[in-house]
Amino acid sequence: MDTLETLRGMIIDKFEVTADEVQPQATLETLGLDSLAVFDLIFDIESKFDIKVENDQVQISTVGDVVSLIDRLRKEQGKTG
Amino acid sequence: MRRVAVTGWGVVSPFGEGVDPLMDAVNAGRSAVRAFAGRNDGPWPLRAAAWNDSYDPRAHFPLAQLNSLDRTTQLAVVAARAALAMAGRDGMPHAEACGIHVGTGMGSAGTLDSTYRTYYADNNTRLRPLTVPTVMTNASAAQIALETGFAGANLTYSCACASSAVAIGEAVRRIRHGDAQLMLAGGSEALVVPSVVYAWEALRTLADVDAAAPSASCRPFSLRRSGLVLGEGAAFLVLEDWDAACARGARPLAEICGYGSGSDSGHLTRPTVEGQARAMAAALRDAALAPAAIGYINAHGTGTQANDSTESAAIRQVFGDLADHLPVSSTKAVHGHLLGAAAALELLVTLCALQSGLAPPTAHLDEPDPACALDHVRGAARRLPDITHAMSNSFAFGGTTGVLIARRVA
Repeated sequence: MDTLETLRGMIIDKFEVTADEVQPQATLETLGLDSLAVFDLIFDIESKFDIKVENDQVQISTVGDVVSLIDRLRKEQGKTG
Repeated sequence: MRRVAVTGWGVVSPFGEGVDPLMDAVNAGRSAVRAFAGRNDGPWPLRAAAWNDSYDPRAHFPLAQLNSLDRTTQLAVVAARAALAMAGRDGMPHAEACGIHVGTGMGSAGTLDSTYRTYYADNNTRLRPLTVPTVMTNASAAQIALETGFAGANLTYSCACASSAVAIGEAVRRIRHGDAQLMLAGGSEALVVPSVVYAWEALRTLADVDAAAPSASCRPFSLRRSGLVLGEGAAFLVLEDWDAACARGARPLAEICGYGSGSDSGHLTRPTVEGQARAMAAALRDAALAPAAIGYINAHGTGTQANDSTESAAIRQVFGDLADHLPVSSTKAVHGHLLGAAAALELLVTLCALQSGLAPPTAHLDEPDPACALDHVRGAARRLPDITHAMSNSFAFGGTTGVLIARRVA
């Protein structure tokens, strides 16, 4: 499953939004996530994708930003494949 | 001085949500106490407890929000919502004139327990990001403010078993002094979690489980009492400036007219007759009432050896021979000891007793202790058609005392 699909499932389960709403261009704010909810999501992302997100990497706005961050960190941290 | 009206109340008790399940059980002497061998979250001692397993978090909160709400906070919010709904929001004062006082003994005990388990037992340093704002002792007050938009005082009182008596009493003072027109005040506690129950167990204060009748394990004022039983829940009152409440069309359900609080200053856990008597006398002075005006006392009555005989002597000291015919009961026998929420829930029981003219019994009191010689309401609830005022006592570990007096509204 690609990163967007996995992330979409996590956001749907956690924040009770519909699949249609979780598009790459959608901002986390419009999905109802405030800054604390983003921290909570990142915590689960770290577990799910086995990556470490540093404090200076949490400035993310859209679902697409999160996907890019996950893919980049997985590559950098040797978690691809 | 401004008078303080109660215009709404809400409760989540071991009997469920709402006042009716609570009062039906309390008046019938029907107990929510059960033997408790634990849940699936760790080893447990076999103890009696009174907890609410009908409460459904998802009926009240979206999934995402539950990440940051300990059970204590959830129960507080649910009870506070119910109290506000009862009081009605039409014509409510502006946000700065509305405040929130919350009493809690141990705060978010469940989240702290599971967090420590993650760190120490699972050897995992990855703790949930919202752990701090979830476990902070003022989490309940904060969440209620977020929901209500109340922008006045937002305070949390933590003085063990007297926490919500003080939260309510200080709210009464705030209104009397004109610092607020409306206060949402109460308490919440949810500490039926393994580490906390073991800690209480270690203090040798928990009641033995009555093998033949676990529901009768808590026996306040009885010769056979063996300790307290932990309970969980939350209760909140809407308190308002009497005249302002009437002007906005809210109906006063009762008046809180007396509050006394002080310190035993004697021992960490053992209460003193003098300390308890001082608080009752202070509440009577505050209400400008003679002892004879009190028609019912909802006692602290924990079921421990030390409290019940001490409280009985303190009532005797304040009320003298009047105590021969002053109905007293402890409803902890059926709902357990809600600690930081105990005073709020028991004041609510007291207000319902005033309103209905029916004093609930102390359940399981077949053999009163001669050292607790009072006019016990036992067996069945007692009709008190002429009652005008009632008192609710709360006395804490650490020595803080809190006594509230309410007046019946005709």
